[in-house]
Amino acid sequence: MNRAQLESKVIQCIEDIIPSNVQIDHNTDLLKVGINSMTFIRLVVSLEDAFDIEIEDQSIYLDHFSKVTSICDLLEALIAK
Amino acid sequence: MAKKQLPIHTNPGLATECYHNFRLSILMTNPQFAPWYYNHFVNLQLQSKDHLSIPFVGFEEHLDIYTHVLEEETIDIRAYSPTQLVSLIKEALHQQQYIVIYLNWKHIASSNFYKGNDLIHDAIIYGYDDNSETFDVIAFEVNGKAYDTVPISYAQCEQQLLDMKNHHLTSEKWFAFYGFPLSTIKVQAPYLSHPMSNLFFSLERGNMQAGKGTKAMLANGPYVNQYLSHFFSSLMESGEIDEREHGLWNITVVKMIQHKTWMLRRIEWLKEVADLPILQQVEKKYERAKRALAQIRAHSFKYQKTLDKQYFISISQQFQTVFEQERRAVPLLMEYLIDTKLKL
Repeated sequence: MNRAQLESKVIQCIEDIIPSNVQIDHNTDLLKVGINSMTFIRLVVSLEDAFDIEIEDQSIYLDHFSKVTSICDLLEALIAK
Repeated sequence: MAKKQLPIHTNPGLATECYHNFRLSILMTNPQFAPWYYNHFVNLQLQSKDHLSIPFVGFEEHLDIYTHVLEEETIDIRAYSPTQLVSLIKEALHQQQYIVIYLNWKHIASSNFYKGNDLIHDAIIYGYDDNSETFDVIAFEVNGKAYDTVPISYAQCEQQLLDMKNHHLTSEKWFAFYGFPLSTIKVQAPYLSHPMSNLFFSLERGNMQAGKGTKAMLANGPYVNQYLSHFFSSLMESGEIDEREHGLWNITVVKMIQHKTWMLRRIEWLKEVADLPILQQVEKKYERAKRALAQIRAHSFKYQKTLDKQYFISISQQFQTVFEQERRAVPLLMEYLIDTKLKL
């Protein structure tokens, strides 16, 4: 899976969680469009299911889930393992 | 010859917390109480105790939660003869009231503690039969089982109540609010002021983390597992578990498994309320947590047999898994409750 495909799949996971009228791109500040301390765990679970991975506890911080790019960086590292 | 039997649930599922299990044996006979009991028993709580080498884990809620569903009243056993007390118990049963009775189980032949040391413990009387002159009782550690029904004769009850009055009234008085020595329990009308609010706020309370490096500590909800993970990891470096506490350790693990089973039963009930897809994700997390706890139980037994500290590593890892599953499940469940309330 290349970076563009990864971003597309991540955006799909995010769009399942946040309000449907919000447009997401790789640089959107997710904390301003509906990802918060409650919903980001749902995003974590959604990403884990979609990519069949487990995100380590020490990586589960809201800041890591504030942008599509930072999420993709995290996922790339996990998938590479 | 008269007899009477009130309904009783023989397997509520919280057998490691006897006082809860007794009261649930009463309430779970009526499905109308499901919103009440599935709004409770949400969090496990950890409290370190100075005299124990292992942390103590129990349910966060205590007997005060029954205030609105059960009316409990102490009977002054000094005011009646033992024969009068037997009549009074039968009369209460006819008025749809259950009885909490404290007995010394070393005198009860069906007890697993028969002919052992003194063991004053409660039981619930839910019926009687004048033909056999026995009360129907549900109790712990009888018939070789952890929790079962057993007949106890009027004569034995009379003798026990006399013993209780003459020898144990002062020494056991600390159990007064648990129903000691004899109490009636009347079931109230099902009560729930705001459906789901107790469940929601219990989940919200479950974010209490234990302070690091302190002896006295408290943790709530998922963070109980995180603490236990650190605890078993630290045992690898230094320390061990006192063999006398292996029993308590095993009960703690069973209690944590019972908690996951209760969470899964709660989810089944919530599906009847509103079956949203998010609930299936929650279910998967608790199933995984329960499997990890089954591993912890198996490896705990292995450690206790071999005293091989390598088992502490896997126990620590499995507690971390339970923590990670619950850390995800709790906010998902909260979101489910919010979406259900707002009909989103």
